Amino acid sequence: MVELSPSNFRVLNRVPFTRAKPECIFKRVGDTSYVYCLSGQTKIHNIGSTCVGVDKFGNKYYENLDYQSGRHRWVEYGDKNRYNASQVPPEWHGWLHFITDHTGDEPGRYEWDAKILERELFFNETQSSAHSLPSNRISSRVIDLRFRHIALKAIHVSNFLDAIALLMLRPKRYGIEHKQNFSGEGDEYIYHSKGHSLNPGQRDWTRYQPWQPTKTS
Amino acid sequence: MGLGLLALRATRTTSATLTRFSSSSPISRVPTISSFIRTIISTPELQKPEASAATQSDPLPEIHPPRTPLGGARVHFTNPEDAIEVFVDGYPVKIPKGMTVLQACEVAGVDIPRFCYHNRLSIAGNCRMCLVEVEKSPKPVASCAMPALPGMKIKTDTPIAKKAREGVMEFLLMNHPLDCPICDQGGECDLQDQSMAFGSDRGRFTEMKRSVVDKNLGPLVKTVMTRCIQCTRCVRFATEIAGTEDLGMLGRGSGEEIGTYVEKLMTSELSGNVIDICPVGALTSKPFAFKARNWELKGTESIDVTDAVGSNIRIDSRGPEVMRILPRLNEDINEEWISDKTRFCYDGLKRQRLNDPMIRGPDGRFMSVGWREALALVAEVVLKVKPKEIVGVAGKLSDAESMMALKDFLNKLGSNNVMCEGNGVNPQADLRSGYLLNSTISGLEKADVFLLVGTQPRTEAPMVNARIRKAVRATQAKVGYIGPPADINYDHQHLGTGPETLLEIAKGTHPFCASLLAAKNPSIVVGAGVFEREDKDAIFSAVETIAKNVKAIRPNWNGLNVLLLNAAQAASLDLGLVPESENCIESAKFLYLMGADDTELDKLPNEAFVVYQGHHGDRSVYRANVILPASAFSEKEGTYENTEGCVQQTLPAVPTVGDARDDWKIVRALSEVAGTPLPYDTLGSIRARIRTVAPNLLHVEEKELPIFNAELKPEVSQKMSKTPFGKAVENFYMTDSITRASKIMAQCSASLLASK
Repeated sequence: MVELSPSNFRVLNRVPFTRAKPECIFKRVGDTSYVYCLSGQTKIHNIGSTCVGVDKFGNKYYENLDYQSGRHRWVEYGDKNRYNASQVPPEWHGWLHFITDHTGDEPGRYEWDAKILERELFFNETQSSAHSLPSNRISSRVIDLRFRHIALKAIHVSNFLDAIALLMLRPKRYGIEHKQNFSGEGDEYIYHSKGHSLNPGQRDWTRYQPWQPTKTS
Repeated sequence: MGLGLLALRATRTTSATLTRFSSSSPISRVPTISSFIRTIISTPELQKPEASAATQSDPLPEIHPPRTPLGGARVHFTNPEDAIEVFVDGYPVKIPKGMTVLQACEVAGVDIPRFCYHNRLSIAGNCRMCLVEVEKSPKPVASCAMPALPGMKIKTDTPIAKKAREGVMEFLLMNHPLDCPICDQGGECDLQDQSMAFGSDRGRFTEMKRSVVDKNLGPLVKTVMTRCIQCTRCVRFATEIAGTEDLGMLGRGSGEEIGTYVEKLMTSELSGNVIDICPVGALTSKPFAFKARNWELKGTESIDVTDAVGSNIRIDSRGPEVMRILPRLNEDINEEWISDKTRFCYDGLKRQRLNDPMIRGPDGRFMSVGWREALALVAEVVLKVKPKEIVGVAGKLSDAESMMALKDFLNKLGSNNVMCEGNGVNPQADLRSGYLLNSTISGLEKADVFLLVGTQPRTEAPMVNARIRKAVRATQAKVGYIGPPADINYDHQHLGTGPETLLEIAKGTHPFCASLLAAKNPSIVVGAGVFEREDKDAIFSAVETIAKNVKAIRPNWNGLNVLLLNAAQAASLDLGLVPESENCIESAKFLYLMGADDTELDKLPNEAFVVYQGHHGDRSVYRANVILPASAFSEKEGTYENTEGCVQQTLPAVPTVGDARDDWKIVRALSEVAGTPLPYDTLGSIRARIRTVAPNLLHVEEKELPIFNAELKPEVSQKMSKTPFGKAVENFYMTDSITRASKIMAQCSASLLASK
């Protein structure tokens, strides 16, 4: 395959052949991609998408609401050569898997300590105050019916609306630092889509047989 | 005949019956709307034609929309008095005398279904599908075999004609297997199409179908003889056009079979064409069997490069793969046939391909590198070598653009040693008439005496051979042949093997001179194998003397022909790829091979640096120091000039493999790295450069005939040697890097040459 590295590009395409061509490619792809093309990789799917955030490992999280639902959020791993899903830290996991709309780098609002959480959820049965919960309340009109069973449970807590706020709550971490799993264990279970280069059932679409020297001279 | 056209026709006739029925006889059963929509109807009227004819005894005068002749059929009146008028469905049409009813219908724009009739073969009249009604004739007549007579009233869409077709179709389908889903002809089958348009919707046959044993016709043609409908097109093709009486008809009645009489292979070089002319799936392509369906394929109209004829072909591809090659109609070059080499060489395009630039390491092994490194190395070496020691050789398959770029590049470096293989060391490139087939391929039909000098057209250019055979069959033209004993498939006289026979004819002492002198249009064909001989100037001067003696060169006829061998030859001589010194390869320090695999490299000095630019790892690669991968003819747009001077262009059908690039682009890039950039970087600007050198190479699909003739040539004082003429093509099936890489061609040369 032709790698579009700048060096090859200049030697074989731009300078000797035609000056118009490279620009044409970039124009079609869009202005944002120009940099990407030159930096070694053409990422067509990132065009027109918003980069929602970057985590501490350098993984970039993208969203494009024009895409098919369920495919509209994705991660671009920071380390392109060695990656697996354990690189996504827990604070981003929920966003990436459509569990919550809150991104992993949202500042402190819901950053609750596990201890406080535990106290609020389970010790409120002893009629302690829950007013240490965040004060920004959600209007009761937006409360969905599916929250009702939680709401019923939350009567014990103290306040219906506080319980909804609790639902939005996302623990920061479970007391230990997140670690990527690069041990190789379980790698065979990683799903690679059909066209992916790491898919074990990938077919060889090369329709020619390259030259094999039959004699040496 | 496309299905759409047939369906359209069927609908049109149905609507005509509808209006006629409803207007003239309201008592008769008026067809309902549903029968109007269905294109195939079996109605009671059709079962009893006499009754329906009686009901419409007084048809209203019909107004016909103007019709255009089918398939661009044109009428050519050699003698205006010979014109006769016939009526096709009440529509008057003027045709020359001697045309058949079917041809008259074609001129009138009415398509008659047919299986056995083929306009390039003799008329057999045995399929009966073309039955039409002729007024005052008691029975329907087979229109393909019936000559049209003045005032004949032909009816093609009456109930009688329709019933006749329906009946014939029922008989044909009686013994035809219902295996369309597994048949390779499915989708392009005449029987399939016509049974949809003209057949009945049911059959009455309840017996067992007959089955026939398949025949082995060799590695190219697959036979499923149960599907055969005995149209005998293949038999007539083999005897009339291919000239090998291999196929024939055995048995009578339902035991009738097509086959070789004894178990043998089809030994013709045109055998692949029986696949095209077979209207059903009885003869299909063996290499293509079960590979693809015809509707999955993308057709690209291109040019064949395996010989110098430049046959027009359609490259059918699926994705990145060439799936098959079919002929395209060109009356001036290949009519509608192509040779087996053209048709089946395509699997060579997928094998032994060079896909990465490679450099030979110090251990003698090749290693893949990037373009940058490869070009930098070549540029570094070429700048160290003295300009005189730089030599460039263009290969057999090079296109005009890349040869132009190569010549310009080497000229910029100061060398003028550029040549094209097959042209010999000292080619004559000054007079175009000295290397072209001046009487043109289609013009060969007009010749009445042929003199073949050191050429075997059957292996060198099968399409030219088919023309000569056509002339021999049609006008009993005489053929004299000078050369080694060869298998020529028409009547000929073997005059001798060496140049001394040529001298005898030039002096006028040979008995064949009488027929040459008596000829109206004598045609002398010299093979391009003569170019490689030391005494080629002497031979050409002898040939020119003969041409002068027999008055072969006149204002309206040029009978002095050279039959070239390779696709690149004519264009290379037009562009002036003539080496400066005759023994430049012996003294070369830097050799640039652009796809040249048949160049003798034994005399090359050991220290010479060889660059091989090409698409296949063939012969010369093993001597190369640097390999630059290029694209094959199916992957690029290139200009080729054929042996008669007709310029044609190939079109890319599939993407290039790996990292390969077009030939001219590589030369252009190399010139930039070497610091002598060529002044063009698009195909358009390189053609503008060609315009200044050889403007005829831009007139695509035109023949630019040479203006000056051999009289302008200086006298030669060369001695003619006694060496007899050799064979220019040893193995017809393997002549260039593509065909040598092909497995099918290897099978052919193994099985067919062994069977001889």
